[in-house]
Amino acid sequence: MRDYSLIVIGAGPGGYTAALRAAKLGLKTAVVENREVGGTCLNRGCIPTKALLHTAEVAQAARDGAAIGVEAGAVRVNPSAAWRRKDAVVEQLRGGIEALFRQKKVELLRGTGTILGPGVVAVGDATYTADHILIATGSIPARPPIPGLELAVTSDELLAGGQPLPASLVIIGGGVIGVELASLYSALGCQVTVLEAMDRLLPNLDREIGQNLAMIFKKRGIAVAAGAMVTSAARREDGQLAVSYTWKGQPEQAIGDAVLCAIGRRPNTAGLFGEGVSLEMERGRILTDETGQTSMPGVYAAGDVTAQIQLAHVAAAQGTACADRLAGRAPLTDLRTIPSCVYTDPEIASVGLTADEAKAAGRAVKVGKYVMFSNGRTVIASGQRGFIKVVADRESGAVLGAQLMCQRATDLVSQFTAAVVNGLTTEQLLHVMRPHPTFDEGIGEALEDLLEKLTG
Amino acid sequence: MNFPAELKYSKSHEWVKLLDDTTALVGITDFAQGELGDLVFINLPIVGDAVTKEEAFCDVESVKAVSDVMSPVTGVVAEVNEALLDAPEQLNEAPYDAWIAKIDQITDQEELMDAAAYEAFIAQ
Repeated sequence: MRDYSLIVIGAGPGGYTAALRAAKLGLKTAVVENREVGGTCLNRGCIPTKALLHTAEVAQAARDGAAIGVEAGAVRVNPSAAWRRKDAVVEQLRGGIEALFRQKKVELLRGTGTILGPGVVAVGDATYTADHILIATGSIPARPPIPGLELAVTSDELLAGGQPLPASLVIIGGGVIGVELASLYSALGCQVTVLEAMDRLLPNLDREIGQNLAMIFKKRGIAVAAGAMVTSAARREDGQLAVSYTWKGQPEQAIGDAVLCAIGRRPNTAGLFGEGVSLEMERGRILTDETGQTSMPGVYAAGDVTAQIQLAHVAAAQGTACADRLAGRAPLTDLRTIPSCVYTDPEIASVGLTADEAKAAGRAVKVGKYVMFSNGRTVIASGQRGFIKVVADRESGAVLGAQLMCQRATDLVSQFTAAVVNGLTTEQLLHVMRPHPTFDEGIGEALEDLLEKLTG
Repeated sequence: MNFPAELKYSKSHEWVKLLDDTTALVGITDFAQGELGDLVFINLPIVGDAVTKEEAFCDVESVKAVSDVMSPVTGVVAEVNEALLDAPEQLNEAPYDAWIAKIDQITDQEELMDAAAYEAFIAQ
């Protein structure tokens, strides 16, 4: 008799959701975790950044208040109070997960889980057996082998807090983590420089998003260098840090009190494999089939450790799908259509194909676009330039993707995800009445524009 | 309004400055920028994009509307004026200095007007 039906290694969004689903479906389940439950997302990622960005947003609203009739006087951000509030949010959510574990009878095993063989996991001195093992050990910040880069901090360290706010910050990496932290530190009054190696910010998203964001950043006083190849970092005699890079063939330098390395995350498999145990891997990530099955029978993997797309909701969807299958239930979530969100101001969200991706794949598409200038709610909220773009198949009108950069984009995107997953057409989305006044009306406008291009 | 004599003009209100037989700078005319109003954003093409005459190759945005910019020629984008990304208002302030793209390998072009013909065209 085995100790458990399922042992999940890692209590982040991939692991804890899988454990809770498995327990709900009647599997005897344990979760192994060597740090706090909630993983990177809750402790060092999504939640702390959004909590701090909320502080920045309120500060900005207070500063802008006089223009709309709210006079707040001089606005000062108290970083230690902001970080305390962030900690309180994290603790509350962490407590929620632990309570759910108790409620659903998921056993939490504290320590590093090491796989000794199929169905056998060691945690500290104890050894447990299980019918199935799910690896959800997540990822850790990557550091490229650039001389002097050990002087840089990672997002993990910045979010942990404890250091005074730097007056100036150089961010290496203009991806999601880099631009979110650039927004945050700029709003907190810090002079920020962003260095991105590719030709624009957020190079994985639609190009208009990166261009628009660079323009907004520059207006806010954030320096942006795209196409910047960082060559080294060093401490100067005055104590400041200098990051050297090449830009358009010329050597350049960015100076700051601190340097943040935000060039991505790599799979975390430290301590995961016992002697003689190995799984098929590729550049550090565990390889799985589409059901999460690894090369070892009964061992599955989900989330960042499989590193195809590092997003909390992807990890959670993969983890719960794995638990569903183990319990004999067909998973409902479509794992191929993945929305991604960036919490800048304005927010950014994207799902499915961009126009460029469709073109590269040889698909004939039409693109509808609406700029939010005349959207009532956007004008009321004195929003920045924002837009909604929808990509549809030229023949069928089926919605293939959408890119949004506007207020509430991260909430608005889901109706496009629903459309892509269910193969809805532009006309079908236009059958829906949209309430007034909402940001959502912008979607109706973008769809109307698209319909005109499809039929015109 | 100002229409430099050394430029050629399209019916969709772009200007073309031929640098040699197969290379040209393209921008929008003084008339176009006036009609569009204050420009706040431009979506530039990417170097290497193939463009076709009378088809959209870029779009500009004012506080009123988004408008496609048509390519007056068929060719390949060789260079884009990146300064416009940060300062799209240059298209309003100096429309003939604010070139949008340099297009080379030009194989075809639409029927373009000279300054006098264009001035007569917009007066219609």
